[in-house]
Amino acid sequence: MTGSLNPLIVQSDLTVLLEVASPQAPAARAALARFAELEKSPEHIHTYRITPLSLWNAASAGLSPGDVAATLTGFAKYPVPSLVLSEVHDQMSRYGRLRIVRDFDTGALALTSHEFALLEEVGRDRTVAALLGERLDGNRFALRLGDRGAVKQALIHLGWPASDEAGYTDGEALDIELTCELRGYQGEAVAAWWADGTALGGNGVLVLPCGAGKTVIGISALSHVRAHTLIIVTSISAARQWITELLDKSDLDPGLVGEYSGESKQIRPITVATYQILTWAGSDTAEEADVFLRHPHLALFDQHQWGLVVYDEVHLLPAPVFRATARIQAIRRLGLTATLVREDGKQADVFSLIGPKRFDAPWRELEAQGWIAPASCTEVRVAMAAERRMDYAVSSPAERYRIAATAPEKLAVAERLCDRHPDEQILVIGQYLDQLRQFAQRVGAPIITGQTAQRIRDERFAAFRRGEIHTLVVSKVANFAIDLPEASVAIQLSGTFGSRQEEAQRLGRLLRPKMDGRQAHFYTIVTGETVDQRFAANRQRFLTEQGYGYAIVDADEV
Amino acid sequence: MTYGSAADAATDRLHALQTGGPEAIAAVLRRLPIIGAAAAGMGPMSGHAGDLGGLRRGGSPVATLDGLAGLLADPVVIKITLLTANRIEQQLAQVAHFHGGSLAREEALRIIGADPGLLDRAADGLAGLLLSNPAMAWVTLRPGVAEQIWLPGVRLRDYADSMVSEQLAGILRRLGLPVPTTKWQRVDALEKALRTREVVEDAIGALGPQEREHLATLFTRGQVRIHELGYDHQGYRGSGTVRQLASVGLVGYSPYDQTAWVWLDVVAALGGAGLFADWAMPEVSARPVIPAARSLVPPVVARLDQLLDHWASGPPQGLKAGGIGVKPVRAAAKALRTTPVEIGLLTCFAVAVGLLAPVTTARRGRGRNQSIDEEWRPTTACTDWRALPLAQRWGRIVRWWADSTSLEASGRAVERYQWDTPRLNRPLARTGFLHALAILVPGEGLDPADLRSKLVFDHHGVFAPVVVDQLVAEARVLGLVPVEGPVGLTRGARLLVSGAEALDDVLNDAAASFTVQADHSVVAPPDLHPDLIGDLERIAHLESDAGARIYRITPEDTVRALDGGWTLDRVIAFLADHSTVAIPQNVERTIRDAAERHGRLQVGAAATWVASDDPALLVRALGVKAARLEGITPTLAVSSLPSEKVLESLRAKGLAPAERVNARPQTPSPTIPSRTRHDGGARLAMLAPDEIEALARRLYPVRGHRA
Repeated sequence: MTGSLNPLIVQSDLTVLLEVASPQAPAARAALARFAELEKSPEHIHTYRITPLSLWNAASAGLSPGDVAATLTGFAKYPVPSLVLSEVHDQMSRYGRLRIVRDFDTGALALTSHEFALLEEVGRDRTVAALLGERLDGNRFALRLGDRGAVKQALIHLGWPASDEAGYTDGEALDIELTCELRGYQGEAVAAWWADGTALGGNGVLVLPCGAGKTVIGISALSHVRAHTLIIVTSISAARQWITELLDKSDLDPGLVGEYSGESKQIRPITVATYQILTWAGSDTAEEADVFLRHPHLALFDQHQWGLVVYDEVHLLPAPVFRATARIQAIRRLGLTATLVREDGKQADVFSLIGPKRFDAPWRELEAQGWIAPASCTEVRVAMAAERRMDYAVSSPAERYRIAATAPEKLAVAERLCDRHPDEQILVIGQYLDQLRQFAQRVGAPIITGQTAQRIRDERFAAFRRGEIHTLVVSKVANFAIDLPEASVAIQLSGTFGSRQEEAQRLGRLLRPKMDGRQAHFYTIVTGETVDQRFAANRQRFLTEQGYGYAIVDADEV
Repeated sequence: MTYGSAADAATDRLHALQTGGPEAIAAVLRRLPIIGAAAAGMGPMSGHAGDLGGLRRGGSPVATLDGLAGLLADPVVIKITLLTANRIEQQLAQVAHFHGGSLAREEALRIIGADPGLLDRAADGLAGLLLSNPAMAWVTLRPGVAEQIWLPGVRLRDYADSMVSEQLAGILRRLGLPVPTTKWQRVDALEKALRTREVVEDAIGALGPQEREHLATLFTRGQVRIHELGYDHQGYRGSGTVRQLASVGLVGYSPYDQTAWVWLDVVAALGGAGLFADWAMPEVSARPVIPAARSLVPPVVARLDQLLDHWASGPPQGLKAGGIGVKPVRAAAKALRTTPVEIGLLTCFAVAVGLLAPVTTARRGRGRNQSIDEEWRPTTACTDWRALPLAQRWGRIVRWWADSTSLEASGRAVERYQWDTPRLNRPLARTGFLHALAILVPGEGLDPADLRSKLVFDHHGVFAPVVVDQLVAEARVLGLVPVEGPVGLTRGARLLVSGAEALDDVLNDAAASFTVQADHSVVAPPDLHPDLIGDLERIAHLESDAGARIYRITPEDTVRALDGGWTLDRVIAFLADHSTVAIPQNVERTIRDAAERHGRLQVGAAATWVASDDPALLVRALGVKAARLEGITPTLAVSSLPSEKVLESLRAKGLAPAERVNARPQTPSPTIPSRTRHDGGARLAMLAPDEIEALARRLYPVRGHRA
């Protein structure tokens, strides 16, 4: 029943506000997470959004419209708009009325429904019709194995999500056991994805903050599937980190794990490949050519009897890999990310091809539980020198950001910040290579950019991890999936315009809990009264929505 | 029963009211909200307020009954009554008129062959409207009433009267009938002939396929606009189908409102088939309205305050022809992040109630050539206005909207941008619109399309689809219905209908706090007090209003607040006073930074510029006090005096200025740093601060700033 002390405000635009301070907030959050997506979680009021995807996902997990209505009305502070309840009912009742099943006779796939009219309706859609095979009988269409993903995408687009009950191929078996213990939330995440091994699970995305142990979760998923697995990651460094973790956290023999990258082409029972190699395109094929013809390494998907494909940093999944994924819907799929923010708006494709979001943990909640390091975020404002201000003023808009972001005044401030943390491992991160080189030269620190050879990168990362290097200057190559557990200070000199996920990922480099429990510090140096400041405000939105408050100080306060 | 005179009509209606009792009066008031409005001294019948004193507290019921009966006999009310009749009732009235003002029930049933139940309901409606007694003569109309009103399909006689005799003869010949000698005989012959089924059928049989198709369209749809038949606005001319149909007397058309119709005589002659084909009442189903306005008083009230503040800080110039132009309205809409329609509506209101008035700023020329420069400024009445409780302010805006009879009510201001504002000359429609919404179940509304068809059916002479759409748009602006979704009165609007005091009582229990978060969002509960909503909207912008309101604070919002007269301290104090948590440091910093930047670039107006490539010469000019020159750069000066005065002053001191008309000052430019060279600092170091300012001004010319 509604009540003034209840924690939820249910909005007619299908958002739900959760007042964190309410005693009932934890219970409400647990119930809400089953059918709504956490959109942002600032310090006091979190915003969830009920979407068709989240409702279909809830329906696929066995929730009924009545369950959802009971949660909403039970925790609501004000009367729940009837519009919301009718939308919940409408959307949830759509799920499962179309089903993708195995044809009993042939073992092939079929799209079926008890509702003749509905099947007729979707069958007349031009996109769906092109993907369906012959009509088997009154309520079944044949479906080619390779079109399983594409049909699901098209049906989602029509607003009639199909329940995929055709199951998975098991892939070649592999014995693997996890040799470490999972944290509570990690176990919950894997269980939500696995769904007891039924066709209801086995696909989907897990969203956890950087440093929360997504690799371990991936390895745990492997140990559930117990089959040959393809893991796709963002870079060679990340691939090698995965291999190290696989060998460290499981009983796998090193000979069973291979790297498939620009430097090595090993295909082993566990193969870790990079997005770059998979999307490498031969220069002699046309852009419109078949995806497997244009990107020959995508054949890796078909060359082996994989039982699981893991997509690390799934928010970066490139289009060719999407298309390849559409063809392997019979294989279990797991997406991992800290920031499910796709600037290209392809969330629906992630839902239909990789699977729905199965688990999401607020950053600050894990911080409060001690699983990720507490972090303070500070924006340091520097003033641009008068002579550069006029340069900036008369520049074209395209040049302005570069001039503001590379203001030389930032270097002195960054140096002072380094001096403030003499005993800590410091990452200095930036977008512009000249700026990074100037700073590296100024403080005598090693630098890693995209131009740095992989061997030297590995050496420098390793030296940094061992504490032999205290300050490491890095370009955006270190934005993702680089594990630097002892880094506790990051100084951002410049960024990729207003990218929210980049800011979050950079903070993420610091969030691995420290041995002595100390706090991490994230500084972003911004040139005041310029476009740099405006972009900085946008970059900070994801983190502020996760509850991180930025303190803003002037350079002379540092 | 036929009424012989207005006095008889009044007597009969009084009798009907007395015998009908409260139900009859209630029925009248329900169907004629305009009479209720008249009792309150509002609307087009407000002059009869004295006759209806008993409808207010303490009035005499007997006198009121007399007054009401008299009012019902008033031709204006009869006209309004018929205009508010629904489609069936109007058609019955047409048939009744066609049959000489009286039609027996059995006769009507025989002609139209309609469902008796449906016919009874329609008859009851019409009887209720006219306060006739169904038992005596179930449909009656006072002779002549129809002449005052515009009813499609009953004007054949008048139309035929207006034709020249030769035209009438031509029609009769085409119908294969003998042609009488005199014009009036020809009119009678045509009227009679077209009541004969055979004649009409023969005429139709002689038509071509396209004529038949169009006739069928007109037959089934009644009166339609000519362009809907596929013609442009002059489709009735020349050899068009409409013209052809008219030439055989089957249809009529109006070149004024571009409509065509089948003569009712023709329809009747065909035995009524299809005459009432459109009797099916629209099926509508109520849906829950989006409860966006749980804050009771909508933002329109605060928006008016914002508009007055906005124009207090920068009054719009009046047009030479009078009124405020479109540009200031649009500029205000942009500045306040709303629509020109809302600004136009509020401007009309502000002018109508004296919150905004023109002030003469200058007079030019003399006698007939004199022109006056005006600015429209908020008046001192604004102080009293703002002292009123919110609900009353909203109530006054709504009441003005409901009662405005014409654009003139708002003075000259609206004339200049009326195409940008809703047309305000439909008080009857607005009253009927509100009434239709008020009788819905609270919390429910109709889809706009359903509401459209219902109102068009229920009040056939009043509402056209476009009028309903316009009213819905206006009601959304006024916050009477939610900004989107099904159209139904908000909780606040219902309370307002019951009296502004009731709304005030509820507002006293409204929430007084919100939450400011580090992501710059401000979350306000659905029941936040409207005063706070108004203030919050001055310093933050609304991102979502779907129950709780979510605002965001940006530097631009702070600048807007400061432009609107707020100070930095007031902004900070307001947030601190009403936020449930401390203002996050980064949010406060955003506000302070924006406030610090505010006003660093200043804009002013200069009437005349004086430029010279010789700084020494310009120094001499600056020494001429009568020219009132002010140096901007070593080669440029400006004066607030007109150019003639400046020229005269300079010439008087022996200087020889040349006048440049419509030219920009041609002065040597200080060097601007190149985009590719980065040594601009050295050059700028040589420039004085005022030169830097002038340079910046030249790089970013401000519109309207004339040097």
